[in-house]
Order: sequence, then structure tokens, then C-alpha cells
Amino acid sequence: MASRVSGRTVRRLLPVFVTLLILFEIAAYASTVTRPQEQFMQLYALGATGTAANYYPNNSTLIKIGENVQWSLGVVNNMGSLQYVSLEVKLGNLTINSPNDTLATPSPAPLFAEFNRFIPDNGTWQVPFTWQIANYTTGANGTATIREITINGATYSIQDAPVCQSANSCSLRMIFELWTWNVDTANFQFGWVAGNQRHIAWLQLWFNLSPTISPR
Amino acid sequence: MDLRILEKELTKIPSRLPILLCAIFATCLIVYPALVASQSYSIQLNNTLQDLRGAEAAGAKPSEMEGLIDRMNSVAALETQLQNTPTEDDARRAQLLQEINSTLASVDGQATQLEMIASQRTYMDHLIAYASAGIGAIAGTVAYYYGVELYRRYRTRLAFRMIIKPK
Repeated sequence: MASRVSGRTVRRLLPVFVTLLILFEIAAYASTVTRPQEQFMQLYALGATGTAANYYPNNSTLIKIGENVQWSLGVVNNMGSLQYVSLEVKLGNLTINSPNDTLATPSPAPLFAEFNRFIPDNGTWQVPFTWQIANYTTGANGTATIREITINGATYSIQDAPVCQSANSCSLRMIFELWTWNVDTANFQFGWVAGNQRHIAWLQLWFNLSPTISPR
Repeated sequence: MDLRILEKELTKIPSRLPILLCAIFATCLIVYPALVASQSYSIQLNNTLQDLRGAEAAGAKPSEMEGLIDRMNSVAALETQLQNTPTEDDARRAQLLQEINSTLASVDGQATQLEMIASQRTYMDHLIAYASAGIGAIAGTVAYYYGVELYRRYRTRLAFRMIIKPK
């Protein structure tokens, strides 16, 4: 077995060695190189049971003052890097514009709460979102305006809140917008940029103000 | 008559000017530090985030990043507290800002260190992977050589065992 390897044998083995070397180096490269992945973020809202159901107490969108509504919001980071995100909560009515998907502009609805978080790559941030209408006022002409909303025990005042024509037909919506930190501008931007393209993620959940209990 | 009033008013201006200047200066003194603090906070946060991303890109493990991300989230919580603190409560605001800046500076330093460690480790991992490929190719060639040699000997042995039988 232990025969002397001649120069001829080496010359014969050289193509074998080079072929194997190329194959193994390709395998090493494939195992070490970071593959480009699709960059995106996800935003979702779940109901009280942690599923896409039971969003409202007693399955009714009529929300009384002081009645707890349990939601769960989630943000998933698939951007390939750590992200600093801000979840902005706005209160809209039927007429206020929603965020514009084409122009990637946020909704002009009044912002009343925001939640910030650093999410690692492939990480999920689940936010419990238990809220109730803390205070609303009615105008002389029968209009209704929500003044305060309590979220997770903290009360948030709403400046320039949308006005409903009457407390009996007051359709409102919570608009959730996903903002991400832009390191180039050192500020939050609506949505995120992936491959020179701006993408946005937003949600809205409708509810009706129930006039069962008189306003404060 | 009107001209006289105007003249009187004009003579008052130089006496009011120092008061006006003082008021502007006082406003600047109050607003400027808050503005600078908020800007420096944004810049510091931006730098820290970039360094953390650098560490992540250099190959820092999720377990190594976890602690730093938790601390960054504590900064986010402090920032919320800062936003909810009334502007009149200067002492509390200053304390929160100091806490935020010191945490950011500390995380930034650790992120830079982690980036260096991670990049060295990744470099070594790559080196080992490429060197292993070379060693694998040598081992494969040797295996091929001995395989061929064994096969050749087997064939030779078979040839020697051949018996020629007359038909």
C-alpha cells in the first residue's frame, strides 16, 4: 500500500484534487455567505382569545364607556437587522382619510398614543392592548367626541378628536400605524424602506360608541 | 397730534429694547438646552442603533444581542416617561435624560466591543471553513488514489488467479 507516489501519479491526481477543491470551496462559500432575504415587516391584531376573532366584548362593536376591550397587537421583524419601531395609535371616524398605500403617507387622524420597541431580526413583539373609553363629551347639537381613552391602565387625552354627528350613530376606528427608525434621518419614518421602495403597514379596527351610560 | 404720539412711542423703544433682548435671551436659555439635549439624544440613539446593527451584521449571536436589546428597550421606556413628564419638571427631565444618555453610551460601547469580537469570530469561522475545504480536497484526493490503487491490485490479483482451461 505504501507505494512511492511518482510524478506521473501526481500529475494524474492533480485534476482530481483541483475538482474536489473547487467543489468543497463552493460548499464552504455557500455555508458562510449570507443570502439576501426579502425584507418586510408584519403588523397584526388579535382578539381577546389571541386569535383573529372575538375582537369585541359580547361580539358587539358597540362599546360602552368604561367597558374593557382586549386586543393584542403584534409586529414581526423580517428586515434582516435590528429595528426600532413605533406603533402609533390614532382615532379616526368615517370621514378622516386612512393611510395612503400608494403615496405611503400616514393618516391625518389625531395621534393619541405610541409604543416604541427595539425588535431583533426575526423577532416578534406582541403588545397587549386593553383599552376603554374613559371620557366623552356631547355637544349642544348632539355631537359626540371621545376625550380620553385608557390603554393598559394609562389614560391618554385626545387632542382634536374626531366628532360624531350623534352619540347614537358614532362609528369610530382605531388606526394602528407602523413606523420605523430611519438611521439616515435619525427619525421615525412611516413604514420601512426595502430595496429603495417604501412599504407601509397599518391596521384599523372599527367600533361604535354606545350611549348607554351618560357622558361625564 | 398723531406725529407727537409716534414720536413719544419711538422714544420709548430704546428703553424697552433691553427688556425685550433680555426676554429673548432668557427664552433661548430655556429652549436651547432642551433642544440640544433632544437632538443629542436622537444622534446618540442613532449611533447606538447603527453600532448594534454593525454587531449583528458582524455575526453576533442572538443570545449576545439579547441583553443589549433589553437595555435599549429600557431606554425606549425611559423616553416614554420623558415624554409624559411635564416640561416644568426640569429636575426629573434632566435625570431621565442623563439616565437615557448614560445607558445609550454604555450600550454603544458594548456594541462596538461585541462587533469586534463577532467580526473576529466570523473571520476565523470563514477561515476554518475555507481551510477545511482544502483539507477535505487533499483527503479526498488521497482516498481516490488509494481507492484506485486498491482496485488496480484487486484486478491484478484476479488476473493472476485466472486459469486457462483447454476447450
